[in-house]
Amino acid sequence: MREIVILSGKGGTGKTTITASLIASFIGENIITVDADVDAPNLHIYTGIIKEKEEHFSGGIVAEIIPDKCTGCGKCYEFCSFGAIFPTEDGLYEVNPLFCEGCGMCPYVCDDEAININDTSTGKIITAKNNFGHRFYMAELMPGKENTGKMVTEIKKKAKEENPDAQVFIVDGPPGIGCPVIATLSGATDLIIVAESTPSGMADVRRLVELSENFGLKKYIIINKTGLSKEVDDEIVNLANKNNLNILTTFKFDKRFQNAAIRKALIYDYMPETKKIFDNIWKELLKEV
Amino acid sequence: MNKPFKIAFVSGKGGAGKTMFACSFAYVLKEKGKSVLLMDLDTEEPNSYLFFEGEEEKKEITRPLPDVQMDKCIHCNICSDACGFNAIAILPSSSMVFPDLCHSCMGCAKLCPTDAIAEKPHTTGFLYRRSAEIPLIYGKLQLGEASSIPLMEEIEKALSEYDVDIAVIDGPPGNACPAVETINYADYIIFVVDATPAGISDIQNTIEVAYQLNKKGKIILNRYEENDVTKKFEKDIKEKYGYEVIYKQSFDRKIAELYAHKTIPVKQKEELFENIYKIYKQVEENA
Repeated sequence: MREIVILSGKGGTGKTTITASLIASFIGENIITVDADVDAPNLHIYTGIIKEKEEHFSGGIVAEIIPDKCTGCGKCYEFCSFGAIFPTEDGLYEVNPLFCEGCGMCPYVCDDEAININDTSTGKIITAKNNFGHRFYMAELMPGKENTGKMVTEIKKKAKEENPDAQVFIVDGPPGIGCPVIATLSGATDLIIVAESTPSGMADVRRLVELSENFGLKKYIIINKTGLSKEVDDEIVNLANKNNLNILTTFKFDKRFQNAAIRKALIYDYMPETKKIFDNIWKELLKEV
Repeated sequence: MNKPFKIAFVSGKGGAGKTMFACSFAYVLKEKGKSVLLMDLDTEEPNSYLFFEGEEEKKEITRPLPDVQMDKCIHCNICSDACGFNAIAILPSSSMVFPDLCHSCMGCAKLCPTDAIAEKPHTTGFLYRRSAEIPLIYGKLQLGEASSIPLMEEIEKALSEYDVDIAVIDGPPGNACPAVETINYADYIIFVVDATPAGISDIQNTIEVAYQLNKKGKIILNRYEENDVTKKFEKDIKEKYGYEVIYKQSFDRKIAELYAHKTIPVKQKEELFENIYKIYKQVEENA
């Protein structure tokens, strides 16, 4: 089993559009696709989906003050470490769920049993099929919710449990290097970094490479948006070589990527000369399997 | 207006142009004689510092972890029972704290009936203060740390050391905790939207959060092309939330080239400079 995760550090490097074309180029149906960017999922925009199932995901807890029982003593307000409890106009207190991180401790300081701890619906996990007949997993996070890492772990787990015989899992990851990225890397076998050949893109790849060091992954890089600065182009190739990142391909900075995105088109449909590149990437990725 | 007046650039989707617009905005204000500072609250992948050279100071930032003094512990297990993050466990003769799970709220210490829980510092990242043509404060999250909030709060605190009128904030992508923190902290929000179906889809939740927090704001559509999707977006957002599109920037290779050469595009594109100043004037009137 191969679990190939695609990350970029920086957002907007072309990670998702490239992933979509890669998925569409896979020969056969034995591939499971996962969008782990639960914060801002976009893969389905390019591969299309037909939803099959939606399940609520509760990744945490949230406090709720019962107005009928609250006496307005203010102990919870003083106790809350997250500034999530606010006085009301009636002299009582209420929780703003946007700020409640779910420590679950305020009931311990309430003398009036006025605080309930409820499971919070963090979002939905969606099971679907994409336009190419592949099983597709994604999540929709409610605005401003915690526990994005847990949600990533949960969809990856679900995808694996429901498809024990799948040959390849391909996971489109979130930007950054924080909690959801760590959850994406955990359990993966291969990492493809989609890098942008700019100073920002390079700084972010450096941090991502360092973060991924201890996960025991086979590492690849696709360098996007080359040709803007020769100096940066050279530097990023050096960075790849130094860190044993196998360079799968490079793409020149090209307005047609943007045009394809605007039209929700696959890159290789919009730029047919790239079809061969994606086929070759699969040959390289699967050559040892 | 509050002082300093805090204007945050946020986007939902990464790569929408937050850093480019935030840096440009700060630079234009400085050129127009305003006293301005730039804050980068994207501590996972900060990039603003790449565009402003200068001397800097680096400070280690820690967050507290509970440190159970076993000689005082009476094994009541209130701490481990109460902790919603399952970050602390009391064993017969020792304790375990899981830094990745612990949110450093220290609620366990406050609940402990025998005051047996002290604090021990845990490195969460580094705070940088850079003296460049515009003063810049930013942070780098320690690799492996799950939450950027404690470091973001330190960057926010550092702002009070500066006597400036305007703080321009380069925000983190997404809609989860760091983005909510940024939006809540700021006085005014500029939504930078990548004008593609993906960018428009990702900004919806960001706008929802800002709206729920009663923030004023305006929208920039980047790499703009007039089509049904962008027209509908502009109309729907105005009707539903009252946020207006204030500026449309079409796709421009020159901007990307300057950016790739660590040059803030407004330094060489006069028209963009003037347009960004116009954005500021509108924000000033609206705020």
